[in-house]
Amino acid sequence: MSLKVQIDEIKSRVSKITLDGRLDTHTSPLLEQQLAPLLNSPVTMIVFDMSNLTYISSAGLRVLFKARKTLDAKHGKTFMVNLQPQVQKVFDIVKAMPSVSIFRSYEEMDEYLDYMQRKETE
Amino acid sequence: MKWTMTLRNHLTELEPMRDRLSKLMQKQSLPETVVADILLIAEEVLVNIVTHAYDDEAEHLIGLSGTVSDHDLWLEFRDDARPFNPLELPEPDLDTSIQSRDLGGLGIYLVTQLADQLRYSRQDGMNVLAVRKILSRRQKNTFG
Repeated sequence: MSLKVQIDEIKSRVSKITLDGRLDTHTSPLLEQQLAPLLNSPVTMIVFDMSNLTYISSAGLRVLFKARKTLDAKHGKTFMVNLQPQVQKVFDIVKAMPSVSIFRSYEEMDEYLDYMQRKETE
Repeated sequence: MKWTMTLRNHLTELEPMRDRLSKLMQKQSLPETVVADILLIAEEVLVNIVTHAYDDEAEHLIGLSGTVSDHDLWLEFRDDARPFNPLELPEPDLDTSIQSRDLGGLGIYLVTQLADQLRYSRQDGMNVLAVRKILSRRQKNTFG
C-alpha cells in the first residue's frame, strides 16, 4: 500500500492525522475508512500533517473535502500543515481550502490558534 | 521517443500504469515537476474513462501513448466509448465555499489546468484526447 495513515489524539477532541505516501484513486478509500470513526466522534479539530504526502489526486481531495464539510457542520476545524510543492499546487488550482486553514509549519498554526483564542477571550 | 501501452477498463490497471509511466519518464530525465504533473493527468483522465465512459459491463481496451521531443511531451488517450469531449465539461464552481460545493468535476479540471495544450477528436469510432506539456531545456538539467 502506498499510503500510511497515522492518527494521534494530541489533545482532548484534537487529532493529528499524518499522511505518508500518495493519496490517489487507489489509496483514498483507505483514508476515508480510517477517518470515518473519527468524524463520528466528538472530535472538534483535525490537523492533517502533509509533510510526507508526495502526491494528491482529485480522489484524495474529495476525501479531505468531505472531512472538512463534516467538521464544519459541527463547528469544528480542519487544518493542513506542511504541504509539499506538488500538493500545494493542486490545492491552489482547485482553491480547495481558504488560505487560513493551510500552514507552512506547526509554529505558524499554533500562533494562529493562540491569536484566535486571545481574540475569543478578549 | 515514443511509447504505447494498453490498459483494460479497470481501476486496478492504474497502479501498474503509474509505475511504467514513471519509469519511462525517468529514463528521459524529465524534470520531477513534469513527471508529477503527467502522472496526475494520466490518473485523472483514465479514472474518468474507466468510471464514466462505458455503457456496458464488457471489457474494453484503452490506449495510452506518449511522444517526447526536446521541447515537449504529448500524451494521447484512446478509448472506444461513446463520444465524449471532456473539454466541453463546464468548469467546476470554485468560488463557492466548500460546504455548498459539489465535489465532482475536479479531476478533469485539474487536467485542463496542468496541461499546456489539449486536443480532443473523434477518430474511427474512438475518443482521442491529446495532452501537451512543454519542456524547457533548462528544466531538464535540474532533475535529481
